[in-house]
Amino acid sequence: MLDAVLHEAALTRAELDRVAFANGPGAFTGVRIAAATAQGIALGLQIPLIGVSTLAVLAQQVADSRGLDAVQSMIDARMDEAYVGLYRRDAAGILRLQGEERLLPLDALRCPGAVYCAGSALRALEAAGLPVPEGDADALPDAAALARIAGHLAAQGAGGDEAPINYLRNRVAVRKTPTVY
Amino acid sequence: MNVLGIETSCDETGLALYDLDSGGLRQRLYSQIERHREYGGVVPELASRDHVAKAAPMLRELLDEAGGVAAIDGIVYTRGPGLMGALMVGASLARGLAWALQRPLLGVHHMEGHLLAPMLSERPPEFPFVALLVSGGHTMLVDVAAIGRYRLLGESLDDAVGEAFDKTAKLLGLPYPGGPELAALAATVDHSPLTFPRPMVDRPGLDFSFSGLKTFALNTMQQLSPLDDRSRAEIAHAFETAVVETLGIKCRRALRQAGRGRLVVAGGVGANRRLREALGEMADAEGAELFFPEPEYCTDNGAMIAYAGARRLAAGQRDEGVFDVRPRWSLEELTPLK
Ligand SMILES: Nc1ncnc2c1ncn2[C@@H]1O[C@H](COP(=O)(O)OP(=O)(O)O)[C@@H](O)[C@H]1O
Repeated sequence: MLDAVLHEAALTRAELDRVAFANGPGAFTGVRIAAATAQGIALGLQIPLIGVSTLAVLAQQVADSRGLDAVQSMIDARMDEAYVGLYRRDAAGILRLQGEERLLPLDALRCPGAVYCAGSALRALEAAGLPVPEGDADALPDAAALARIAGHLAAQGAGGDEAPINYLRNRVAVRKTPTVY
Repeated sequence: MNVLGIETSCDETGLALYDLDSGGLRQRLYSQIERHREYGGVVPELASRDHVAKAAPMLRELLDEAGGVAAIDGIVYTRGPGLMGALMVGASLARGLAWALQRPLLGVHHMEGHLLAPMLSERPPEFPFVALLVSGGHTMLVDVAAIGRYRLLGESLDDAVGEAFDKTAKLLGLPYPGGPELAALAATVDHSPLTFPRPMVDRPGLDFSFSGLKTFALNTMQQLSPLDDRSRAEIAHAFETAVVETLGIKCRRALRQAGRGRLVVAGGVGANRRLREALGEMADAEGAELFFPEPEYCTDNGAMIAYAGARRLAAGQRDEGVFDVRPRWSLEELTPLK
């Protein structure tokens, strides 16, 4: 697939300047596959790595395809929760995070100022019998939107050896207290 | 040929550059034990998080020391068995790197790595040999005729030996991983009035079962509760005696059954002093040679993966198109070298 993309763009590996990946939040293993693959490519080609929020990529993709200036990304996080971020277009055309990305219970999801919503959490809301805001439940973050954001960031000098993953959900294990005889 | 090996199947991030021609080896190892201790065992999600955070920076360091990425002629990684999410990290890193460098790529069997790790030691055994693999995740006896020619003689039907040590240690209130702690506690007494069963020794096969020992320990503790220091140590001692004797009996049987004169012991439990002594006596009595590779090659590491993979890459093997990891994967599915 990587070869096919380069071929279509008539580029060689050596002409790549940056490698970008969606650094979460989202399905843990999926995010790590992207991260580790990108790390391998960055190391091999000796180029910087750029991590971009999955929520930002989704917002960019939906805003660009629908000609919108604001999108609230909301991705189903299972366990009746969602990863949420509100994004607005800046002068350069890049969707910028407003406030923070958060992990919220489904019933705490709000749509500020009836902004357009996008992402799998819309379906989770419906399944939970909660009010569903206007939006696109089928929208998925795509690599083209990721590359648009990363290209812009790279032009501003972004990129480095490391790009940490943003899991947002960090309660993933419970401490056990063993019985002592 | 310089081969990069990447191991991320469980809770150790291991990287190594092995030169098949000179035998030269550089490696990096990061153990996550401290992170998992408070949970009393390996938490798969935390293991994966650590691998993805540590592997790339460690690799950069290793490559800087080795003179850069140009030093890599081939890339191999642990395809399985192991934790799915953890395996994915090493496999993805390897694949990204192989694509960028246009170098051959191959997924390696973790247990083959263990079986061949003794080849990296100061005093490597010759083929054929019988290998006893005793770690936190595995207990097996394997007849190793040559690279890729493995016959599973026996394995644990339930808990691995290290796991039995760790679980029993936990019952005794010792911190994870409790194997060494239990052994130290057992060493505070020189005998125990208690007798634990020797599981499955009176049956003909070479399989093991250790979960009963843990249950026996639990019952004993409940009977003797509240425990004082001495009875704790006696329980540890009796448990260890039962494990050591069981392993000794099965190893002798395996050597005889396979008709081999060499026994190689690998895996973390191989560090156990009483096991070493007992196997030493058994091997002497059988006229067999006994090999204990250096501890650094006994536990999970990148060097063993680099070595096993280098031998296979040199024989022309490569990953074919599809990308997969194999959380469950039998050793006997492997093919001999051409
Ligand atoms: N001296 C010892 N006596 C008994 N068990 C030990 C000793 N040293 C280490 N172990 C056990 O070995 C296991 C770790 O071995 P290792 O080969 O790293 O296995 P894994 O990677 O499968 O956890 C642990 O279960 C640990 O308790």
